[in-house]
Amino acid sequence: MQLTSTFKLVFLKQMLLGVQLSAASSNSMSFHERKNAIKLSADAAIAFARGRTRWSQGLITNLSKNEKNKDILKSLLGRKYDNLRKPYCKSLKIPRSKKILRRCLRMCSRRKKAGRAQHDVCKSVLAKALAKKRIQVLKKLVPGGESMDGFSLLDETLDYAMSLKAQVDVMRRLLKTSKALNIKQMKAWGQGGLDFTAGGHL
Amino acid sequence: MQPSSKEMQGVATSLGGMVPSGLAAHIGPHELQNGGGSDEFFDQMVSGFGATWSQGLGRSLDRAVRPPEEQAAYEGIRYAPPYDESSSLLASRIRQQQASDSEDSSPMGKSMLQRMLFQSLGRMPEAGGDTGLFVPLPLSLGNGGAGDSSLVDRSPEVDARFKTPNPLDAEVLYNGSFLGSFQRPAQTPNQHHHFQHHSAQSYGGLSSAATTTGAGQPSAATAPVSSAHTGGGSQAPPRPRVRARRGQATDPHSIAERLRRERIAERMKALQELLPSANKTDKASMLDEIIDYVKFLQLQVKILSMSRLGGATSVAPLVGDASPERGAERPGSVDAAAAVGNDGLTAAERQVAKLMGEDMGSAMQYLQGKGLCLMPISLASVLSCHPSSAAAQLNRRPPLPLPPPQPHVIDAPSSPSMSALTVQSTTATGADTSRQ
Repeated sequence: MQLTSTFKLVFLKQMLLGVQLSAASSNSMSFHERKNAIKLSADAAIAFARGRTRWSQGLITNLSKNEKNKDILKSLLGRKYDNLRKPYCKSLKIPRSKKILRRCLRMCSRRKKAGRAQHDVCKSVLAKALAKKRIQVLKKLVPGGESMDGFSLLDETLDYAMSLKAQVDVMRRLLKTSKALNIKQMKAWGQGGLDFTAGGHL
Repeated sequence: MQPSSKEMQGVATSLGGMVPSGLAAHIGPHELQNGGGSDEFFDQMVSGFGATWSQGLGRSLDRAVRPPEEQAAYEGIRYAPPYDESSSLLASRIRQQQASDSEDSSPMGKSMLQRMLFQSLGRMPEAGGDTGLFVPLPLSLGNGGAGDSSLVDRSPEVDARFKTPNPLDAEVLYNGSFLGSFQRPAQTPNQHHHFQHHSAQSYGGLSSAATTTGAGQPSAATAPVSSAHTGGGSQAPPRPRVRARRGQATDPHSIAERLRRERIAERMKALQELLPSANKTDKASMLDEIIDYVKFLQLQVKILSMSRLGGATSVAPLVGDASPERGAERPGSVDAAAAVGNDGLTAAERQVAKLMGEDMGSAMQYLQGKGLCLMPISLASVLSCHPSSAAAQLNRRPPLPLPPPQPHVIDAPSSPSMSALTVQSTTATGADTSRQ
């Protein structure tokens, strides 16, 4: 089960390390930069914690497209970075299914010459078109989804959705924690002797 | 089915071979596109026999012979008794057609169906040629358009005449023909395939046209035919089940289609469990919900990363000092976990605990003076590389609890779990300092 505490712990650790890295690299960050840094480390962390899946590889690839992020990613992920970058087994499923699809389409196009009076057929054709459209949208959502066929796309979607859920969960808790922390600290150190929450504007 | 009726009329007048193929054409691609298509395909096939083939008969001879033959095969099963002279004619024609055809891959069910039809067709002449359906054939073949109307007129009476014995005959015939004529498919599997491939088109067109015309008749025809189908071939019309039929190699397309659908179904089920919604209707809505859910989660991550900007600066120093390998030291915050490793801190811990009992501020100051800071136990455990204990503890808890060290917990919302965790963690690790 993916939503284990281990996964979440690993994710948390990686994310915090990533944030620290980003913070160390640039002393003062703007709002936008900070948001990007956190998001980057969060995404890299889930990809790291999940191990080698297609979406994690796609995610790392997408993140690495930005040159600035590459260094951070490299140092954050360490040796796993190369593992995740290199795409594993461009599956043979794709060519075969494409072959079948092409054959079907060829035969279909042969017959599609005449009109379509059959509205039953139209209904199913319409349903297929709808499903296809949705699948395309899904491909755009899931990182690295364009190169997957139907089945693996659904698998990866499931995986990715679970990881996202865990990510949201951990981040939310972390947010709550640090919020509570800051409030307490601000209460405790009202005199302002300690600048612990200097940047905090929770 | 208005379009099909119009088409039928158009066909009747024009006698062109194109329209039936057009009618049928949309069945073909649809059917080929997915295995589910064959469901509708069969429904159509089953539903629309009565008048369609009469129209189809009006077509060009060579083209028309096939579909009407198939239709006739269907009908003939029902209209068995009186017409026998044309049955042999039709059967021979069919065999000629089949012989000339080459192999094609059509869905299993369709091929099975058609094979059964041909078998029954073939058997009918053998059995004495009591195939009623063939009688209309010569009429339409001869007269074209005129034949259509005559056929349409005749078919109801034919149907009425043979309705009662038909179902039984149909089933019997189907069963008999199917079981008894295995040599037929064995002889001409390729022809069957190809023929079925072509006839699929014509079937589709015929059935579609048939549904509109011959109102009562198609329905009457449909019922016994479908029952015959299900009874005779042990083949459910809605779905081409892949069974090991002797002499019929299981169609790779239909197998692939079935496998594909099953895989998709199980994955959709898994996704359904993940999603909070319980909508089980169909693929499209499930896909919609999945898409929405993924979008929602991504948006949440984005928002959370924005809102934690304040936390970034406070968290970063925490982490930076927490991780042993990182050397970044912010003033005043040193990893308590690192310090925790040392046994000499127990006294400091007690001191901190005592201070915390009195006043948080002083406790904090004490720690700061020592160069320590407080952090959640979970975080400390992770960062000090005690994954097993941390995970073991945390498995009983939500992943990031904030353990209060003392009874007078300030962090209200998570306090119950926290206190328990604190106890556990302190007993287990023994040295963690928890931040309040």
